[in-house]
Amino acid sequence: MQITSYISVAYLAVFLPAALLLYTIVPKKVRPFVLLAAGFTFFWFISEFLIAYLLVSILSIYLIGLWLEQLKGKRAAALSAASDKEEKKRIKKQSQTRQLLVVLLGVLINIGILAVLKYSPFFFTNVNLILRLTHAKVGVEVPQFLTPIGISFYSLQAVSYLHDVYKDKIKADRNLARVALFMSFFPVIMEGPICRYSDTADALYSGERLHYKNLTFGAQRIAFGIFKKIVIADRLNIFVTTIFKDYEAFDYDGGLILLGAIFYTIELYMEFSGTIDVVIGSGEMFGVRVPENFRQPFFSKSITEFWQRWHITLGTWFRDYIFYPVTMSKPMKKLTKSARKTLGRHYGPMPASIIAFFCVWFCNGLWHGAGWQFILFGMYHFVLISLGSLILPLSNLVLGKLKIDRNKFPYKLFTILRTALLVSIGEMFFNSRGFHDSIHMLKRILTTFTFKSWFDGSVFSLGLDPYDVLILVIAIAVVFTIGIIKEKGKSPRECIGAKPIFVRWPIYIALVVSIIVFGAYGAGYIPIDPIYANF
Amino acid sequence: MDKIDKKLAIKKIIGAVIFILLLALVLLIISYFFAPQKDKSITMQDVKPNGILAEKDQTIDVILFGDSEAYTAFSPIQMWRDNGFPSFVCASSSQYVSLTESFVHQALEHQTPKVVILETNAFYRKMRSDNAFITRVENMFSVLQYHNRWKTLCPLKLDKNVNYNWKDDMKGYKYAKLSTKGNNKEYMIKTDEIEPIPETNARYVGQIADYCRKKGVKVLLVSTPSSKNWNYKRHNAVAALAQKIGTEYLDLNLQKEIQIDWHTDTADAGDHLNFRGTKKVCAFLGDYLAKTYHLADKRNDPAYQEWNDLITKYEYLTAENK
Repeated sequence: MQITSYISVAYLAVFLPAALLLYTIVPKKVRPFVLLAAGFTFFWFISEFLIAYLLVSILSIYLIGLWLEQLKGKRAAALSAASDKEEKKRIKKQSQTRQLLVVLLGVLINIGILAVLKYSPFFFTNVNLILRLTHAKVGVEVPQFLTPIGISFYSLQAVSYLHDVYKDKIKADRNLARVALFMSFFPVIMEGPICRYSDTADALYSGERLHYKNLTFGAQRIAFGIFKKIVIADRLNIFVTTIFKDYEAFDYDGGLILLGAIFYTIELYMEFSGTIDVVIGSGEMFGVRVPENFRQPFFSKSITEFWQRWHITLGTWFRDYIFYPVTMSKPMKKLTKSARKTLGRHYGPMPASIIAFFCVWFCNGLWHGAGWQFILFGMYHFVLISLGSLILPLSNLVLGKLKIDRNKFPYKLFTILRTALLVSIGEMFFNSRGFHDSIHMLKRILTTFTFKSWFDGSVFSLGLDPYDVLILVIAIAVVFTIGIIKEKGKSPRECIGAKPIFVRWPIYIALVVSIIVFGAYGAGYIPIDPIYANF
Repeated sequence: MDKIDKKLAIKKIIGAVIFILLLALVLLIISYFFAPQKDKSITMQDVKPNGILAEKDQTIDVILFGDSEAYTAFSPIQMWRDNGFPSFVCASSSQYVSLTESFVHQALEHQTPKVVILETNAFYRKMRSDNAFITRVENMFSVLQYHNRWKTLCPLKLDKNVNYNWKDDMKGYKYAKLSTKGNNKEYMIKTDEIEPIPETNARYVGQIADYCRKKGVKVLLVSTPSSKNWNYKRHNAVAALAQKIGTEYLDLNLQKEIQIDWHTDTADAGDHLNFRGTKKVCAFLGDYLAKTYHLADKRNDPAYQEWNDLITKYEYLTAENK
């Protein structure tokens, strides 16, 4: 059996039902081990012997967690034995340094593996480029490694565990199986969400029996995810692939390239959030609440807000483990203090924030891939967010002078559309084949943009016919409507679940039938490979 | 579990079974409407390769199948102008060989060409493993197989501009104007190594060859020049496959007389050919096909007057690169 994605027959029709069946027939105590075995089996299916890297990560955080706990215990004992203040201060400092070194060792092991496997080819390629530019006659061999799928996700989980133990947010776990299960729960191991230990570990290990409501709600969430992926994302894929692959060869104008960027953004959202729906639905079936990763991102009125609603667990990871540590570091605090005196209350904290934002977005870009286009993607967002903060007083002034009310619908709509457009440009960099293409495509949009190609039928020669467009409009409207319901704080599933059976069942059947009839699968369609699984 | 719990559980299990049976029933009913009765047509997802359905029956001598390598390298009007045989390119972007098989079946229902050409780049496009499982389920619920027929069953006539009467003046060729410099470094370095063709793909190619043989149509495997996609290991694999399934094989990457200059003849640095490259390939392939398969020159045949008329349009459309 080959599992290529969560939205595959192998996973949905074989692996998940088998795991559920096995989970429910064994005694409660054995259930966590069924999940653990399922996690390792799943990982074996997607990465085979590369599972060794996962095992190293699990063992490293387990042992280093215990080591940290031991140091904390020793510190507490020494502190209670110490008599004077100076002695206590010295013990605290000494222990703090030791703990820091130990946690850094753990981070080094986990990020080190990720860096070597994923980034060393990129690093050495650039070294060779510099050597060539300096006319040096030597070059280094670029190493190539097989990288386990999901490493970027579970490595961040590993770091979060160590950091949370170090910061006393959680206690180091003495149960190796629970740590292993936290790291290898099969629904999240391939594409996230990036879970925190406090989110899932206990629920995973509790061995709670399956509940009817969890099963049905989980299945509904999975069905909706499949709908987003197969009806919308896979349908857009031919168009998007053609534009991004052939834009140069077939001289597509800026209008078509921008349309390709917008469609790619929709495709990416539907693919990734659809897969996350399947992931969360799978977790829900086992009674495990996996954190949400999306919160209607296209209702965002600024780039900052967008990133609070899109890939939420990655954003909060960068916030908690990079942004806060950088801004709260001693040099940054000092910088803010002195900048406040000269630049005032608004601009004072900005230098430190901008430095922290740079770190976050550089890492965010690199996390998405080892390539200059990804660094460009990160830097693009860094510039937009920093600029947004810098010109805020100016834009407030202009809006005040023009008497534009920020809370009125037209202005809100304008900011939502502006954000969506800026995000689409960023995603265009992200999906391009390299730095050169990123710049070239942007140049084309800026120099050869016309709406002509949107309406002269060119769209229909690139893999979409008018029926496809009709289905896309209807399907996106369905997702949009559900987004509005969620935005109002209601749960569509609870709303439908409360209806009588003759209303509820036709809705469920309609969802399944619409996937089967309107899904972009079979002859003529190219299913998208899971986009985020490669990160 | 107490009695009430057990009763509730049984009730829920019965409810779930009824739901699944109801869903299956709905799918069976829908399948009845979606399964083609007399009409064997499929829908218009791929406009260009389906353009062959608009050609008059039994008028095409050569049909070429494949992915973007095929529709950029083979120009039927060019070969008509220079060699006088009618051909058509049924190629689509990133075509899977399973789709090629459908196109071959569809095309041979209306045409009996002298030769069918399969461009070999698509042989290396890996299909998903669950495709085979899906095919089995598709046989049970034919809506899975023919789901796209909702477009023809739909009362809205949205496809008035994109239907079977849509004739492609380029006969499946896609004109690539741009030129992005490639590298003239030798890429066909002789070796005995083989880059295996995915097993499922090889099986599909075999099935296509068998089907053509039954219809009395010869099959030729052709590798278009592509410094980015092709190499000697792939050449060896395709040569072995051709021998196994009893077809001929022509690797244009090894035909030095075509003289592809990767500095000027590629649209995107060695991936696809541009129009300059297409002209060179068609000059060679046109002669080769005409001689090998004894294709008659039909330029003076009044039934093909429309093809002669298209030459002017073709030359106008491709004039920039002349």
